[in-house]
Amino acid sequence: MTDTTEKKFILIVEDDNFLSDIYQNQLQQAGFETRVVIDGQAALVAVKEKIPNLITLDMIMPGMNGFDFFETLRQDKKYEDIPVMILTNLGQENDKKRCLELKKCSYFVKTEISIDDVISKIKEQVL
Amino acid sequence: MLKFSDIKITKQLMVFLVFFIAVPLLGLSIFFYFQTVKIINDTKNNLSYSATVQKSRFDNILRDYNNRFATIKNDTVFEEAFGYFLSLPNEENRLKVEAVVDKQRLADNSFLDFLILDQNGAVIFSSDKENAGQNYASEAFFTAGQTARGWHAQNLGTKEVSAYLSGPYTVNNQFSGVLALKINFELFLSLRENYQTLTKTGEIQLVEVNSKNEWLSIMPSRFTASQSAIDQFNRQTPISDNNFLEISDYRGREVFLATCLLTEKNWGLVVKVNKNEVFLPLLLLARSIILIFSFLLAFGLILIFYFYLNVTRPLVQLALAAKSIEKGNGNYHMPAESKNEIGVLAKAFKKMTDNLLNSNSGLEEKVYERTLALNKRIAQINHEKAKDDALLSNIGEGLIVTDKKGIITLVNPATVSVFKQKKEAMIGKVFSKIVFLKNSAGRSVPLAKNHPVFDALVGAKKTAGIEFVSERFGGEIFPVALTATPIVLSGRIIGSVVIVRDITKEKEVDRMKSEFISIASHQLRGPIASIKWYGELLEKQKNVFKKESQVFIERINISTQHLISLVDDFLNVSRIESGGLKIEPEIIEPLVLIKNIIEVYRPEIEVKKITVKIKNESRFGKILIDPEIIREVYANLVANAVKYSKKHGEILIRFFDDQANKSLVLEVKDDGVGIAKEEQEKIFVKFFRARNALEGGYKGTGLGLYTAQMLAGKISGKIWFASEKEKGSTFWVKLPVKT
Repeated sequence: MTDTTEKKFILIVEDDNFLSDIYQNQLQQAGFETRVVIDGQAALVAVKEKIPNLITLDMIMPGMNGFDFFETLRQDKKYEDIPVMILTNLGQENDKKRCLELKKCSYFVKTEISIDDVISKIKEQVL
Repeated sequence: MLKFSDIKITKQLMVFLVFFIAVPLLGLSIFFYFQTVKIINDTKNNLSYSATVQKSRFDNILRDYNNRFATIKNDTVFEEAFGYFLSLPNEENRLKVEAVVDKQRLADNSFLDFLILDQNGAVIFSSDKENAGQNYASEAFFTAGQTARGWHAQNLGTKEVSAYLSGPYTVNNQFSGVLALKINFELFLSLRENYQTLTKTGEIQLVEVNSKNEWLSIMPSRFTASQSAIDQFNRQTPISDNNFLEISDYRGREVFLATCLLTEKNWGLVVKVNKNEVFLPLLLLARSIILIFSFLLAFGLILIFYFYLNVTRPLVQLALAAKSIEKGNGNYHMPAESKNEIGVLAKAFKKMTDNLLNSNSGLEEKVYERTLALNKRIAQINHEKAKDDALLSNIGEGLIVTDKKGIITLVNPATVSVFKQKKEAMIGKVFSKIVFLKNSAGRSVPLAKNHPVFDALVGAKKTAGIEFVSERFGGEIFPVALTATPIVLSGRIIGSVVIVRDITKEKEVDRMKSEFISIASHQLRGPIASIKWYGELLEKQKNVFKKESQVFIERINISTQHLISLVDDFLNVSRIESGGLKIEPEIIEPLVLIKNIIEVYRPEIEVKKITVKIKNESRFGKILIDPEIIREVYANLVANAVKYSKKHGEILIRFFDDQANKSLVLEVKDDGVGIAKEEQEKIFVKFFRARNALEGGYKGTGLGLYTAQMLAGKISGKIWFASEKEKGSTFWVKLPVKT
């Protein structure tokens, strides 16, 4: 059930602050609540604090990589349904395939997608 | 075992000759033996028969005489006349008696003399006047005749032999004396003569037999001999009726003898004939035969001798000559020249030996020369072999040579170190038992179709750089690349040469490269993403800026895009070059794909107002192909067509099948700037950008067509084009499809 009064919460996992700034600005302009963490560990903690409506994720992160985080996240039934959007610099086909096989996992290469499209894709999944 | 044919020929011929002579002779001997027996039998029968015949004749004569005697004795006329004479022995009465006698005598001439003797032996009457007054009292014919009638011979065994038939004479039943008739012996003699003319040595003897069965010849013998001999013979020879003897007669000659007794009991007949005469024909025959055979023997010997002279001896000479030549002795005796077979042989032999000697003389020199040349060649070969060996041992890659059955015949030192096996352990074994191959799916590759060595040996195919996973002795697994080539000699595959490259390091390098690429791309893309997005944001805000600044923002964004493309292309190429490209076919629809690609370039198409037309003339609706590759290749062509089209340009896209119906061809035709002729050959070169492209300000990396060609090549496809500057280009890409 969508709650129209409350803002949707997007958890951003990105260690590049230039990029995380863009995400935050654009999402906030679009009316989202956002929070930025820089790695998977912090993300897991943040999720526990407040369940986000979507998590954006990089593949290569300090500590655990994207897939490991995903698996760990999904272990908890509470977090089964949280959509995860992987925004990465890598263009490996097998990663993309793997992601698409997973539940509620989308995969985009940063240099291949415009920022506007990122925001609209997030809107699609959350709203 | 001595074979007959091993004996000297001359001796063989002798044996034949002897057999040829001996066997018939033997046969003849047997014949002669049987003939002899037959002859003896025949003779016996003949003699007996003759004896019997003569006997009957003689008996007839005797009987005849006996009858005469009886006739006379019973003659009444004679009795009367004689009675008168007895009573009155005067001349008148004597004449009367004589007349009667004469009558008798005239009847037949068989009597020589007619005698009547009185009881004292005195001649009472005799037809022969000279007998008058004689007294024959001592004569046997008188003494025996007094009592019985009988025959008595006189002068036995001589020409003067005579015989009396005497018997008592009665007048008026009173014994008056002895009547004796002197027989004409001529009858007997002539009878004998008749017989004797039949044979040369035959003889009939009329004999007188005494009480001891000894006989006295009555008639003279045909052959002269001493009386004593005759007498001895007569005494030794028993006489009986129907006797047959082989005996030596009074002459000492061997005779066949048959005896029989006449009815006049003390007379008998002896018929004899010389053995010689009897056997004469046979003997003559035997003699002729012996003569003939002797002649044959002599002739045979002459032939053999001639054969020896003209065949055996020359052959022996030739054999000795061969021996002499063998010893190197030039002196040898050749058979005399002739035109017959031996002569021909001798001639040929001489020719051959002359040739041999001639060639021999030059032979040593030739041998020396050839040996020199051979040694040189051997040295050459050894030198080359040493080079080859050095080469082989120094090749860093493993080299294995197999025979046509896949059995390893040669390995170089590098192979030994790659597989960590001893050379001896590998040679002679089947390839697949030494080099274990597993494909990328982890399955063992047997020595069958799709095994490089098998394909080389059976399919005569050369395969290069096929990667497998193999195993060293000891279990260590490692990656390997195989190149196999068949060895063809005179059109036949006799083996294969396999290069085995341990690509562990290369794989390692590849892995490191990939890793580097991953890391690098991540590193690069981070800031690039940042620039791109900020650029986008600026773009959205561009109305805030002055015109000049707006252009700056535009250019920044274009450059950013260019940078992204460059990085993408470079990463692609690196990935492909490092062999990290995995071909994973999937079922895709080319038509759908091409439409999707066009959508990606839709913005530029609309800006330039380009018309795009798609025509499908292919029957391939769905194909099995690696989607990344086909997308990359198609996208490149479409991108170029869009990029180099002018405003209001037209792009025609067409699908069709190649002639063999095994490949799908995509045709992309534009009417854009085209490619100058002089630059067309470089269009696929890495980083190459045509002059008109650069001058026209068209952005590009120079990697598009290079990449497309590489990728197409990876799946056995092909790209080609036709173009004219300012007129446009048509690009075709043919990709083999599996439906």
